[in-house]
Amino acid sequence: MIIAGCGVIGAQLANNLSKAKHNVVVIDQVTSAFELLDPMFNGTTIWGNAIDVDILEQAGIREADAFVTVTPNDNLNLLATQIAKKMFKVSHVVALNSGPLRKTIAEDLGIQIISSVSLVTDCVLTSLGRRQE
Amino acid sequence: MEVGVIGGGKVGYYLVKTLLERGHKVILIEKDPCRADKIAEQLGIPVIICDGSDLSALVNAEIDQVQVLAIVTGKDEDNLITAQVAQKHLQIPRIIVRVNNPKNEEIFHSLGVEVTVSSTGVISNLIEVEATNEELKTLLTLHRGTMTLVEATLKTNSPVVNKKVKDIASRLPKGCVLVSILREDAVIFPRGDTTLQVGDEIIAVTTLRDEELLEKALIGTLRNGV
Repeated sequence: MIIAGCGVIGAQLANNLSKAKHNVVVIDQVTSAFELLDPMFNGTTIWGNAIDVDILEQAGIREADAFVTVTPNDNLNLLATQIAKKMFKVSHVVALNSGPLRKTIAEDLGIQIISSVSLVTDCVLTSLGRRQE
Repeated sequence: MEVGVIGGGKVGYYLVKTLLERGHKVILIEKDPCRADKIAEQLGIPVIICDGSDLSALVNAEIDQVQVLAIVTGKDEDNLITAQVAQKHLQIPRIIVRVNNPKNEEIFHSLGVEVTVSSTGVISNLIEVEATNEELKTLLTLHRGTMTLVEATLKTNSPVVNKKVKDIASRLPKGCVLVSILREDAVIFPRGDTTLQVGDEIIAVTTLRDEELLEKALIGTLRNGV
């Protein structure tokens, strides 16, 4: 599986998946980002832009089972997942998006997005709701 | 005409300025408030501050009333997503999209964004034309790369010099058309009776497949010197 974006979320995801014995490739444009990976991480790291088809090929996108983008750039995440799904027919693709702004277009394109803002606010509201009881 | 421009960077700014000078009505969308203010002040037009991929903001800005939408930010991912939002939800007759990385043009086309302009691509092709030693120079590719617009200058040893177009028609490959001839600064449109001369600069449209045969017909040799 390929993870685009080795920030806090990407690194955590990569570490967990690698521990679970998955074959993980992480792409990021900032080499220092890879320092967030566990010393025990036994996947591959690639420096590059996740919407660059050459970088995706290098990461093995043709054989990938899953492609996840968790960069801070919402549009880049949506574009990268489209490339993975439509051009390379990867079966599982997920894009992180900060807010629900692009929910409509993601639905139009058939791309699953996870909105971090919505998730967090839902959790907080649920927790506050419990407090009030 | 009413034109929408998304992206107030260098390209967007000069595009808006040019359109205003030509008398068009322009709506500009720019997400950076400082740049938006500067442009509004300098060009005297209202600038909407919002993200180009925010559908409800675009609708509020009445972007759906324009006849042409030009999406020209400096980031390909923003341009692509904005174009997809506009294509799916706004009934705008023509959408033109800037592509910064020429490699992304093919990706854009495969994701349904047809009309793209890549200035890097145009410039690099022009450089290629100068750099090439081939006799048949490629000026432009058309129809998603399946056809090319080519130029050839007839030299004394060309097999078609002093021949009429109708007489050489059978030697030309099926997939090509002679479009025009530049002869001493005059443009001639080739007809059956037109006689080709030394020094004629011929412009033709050809399929990619027939390019080499066209070169052989007009110049006399194949690329590898055979």
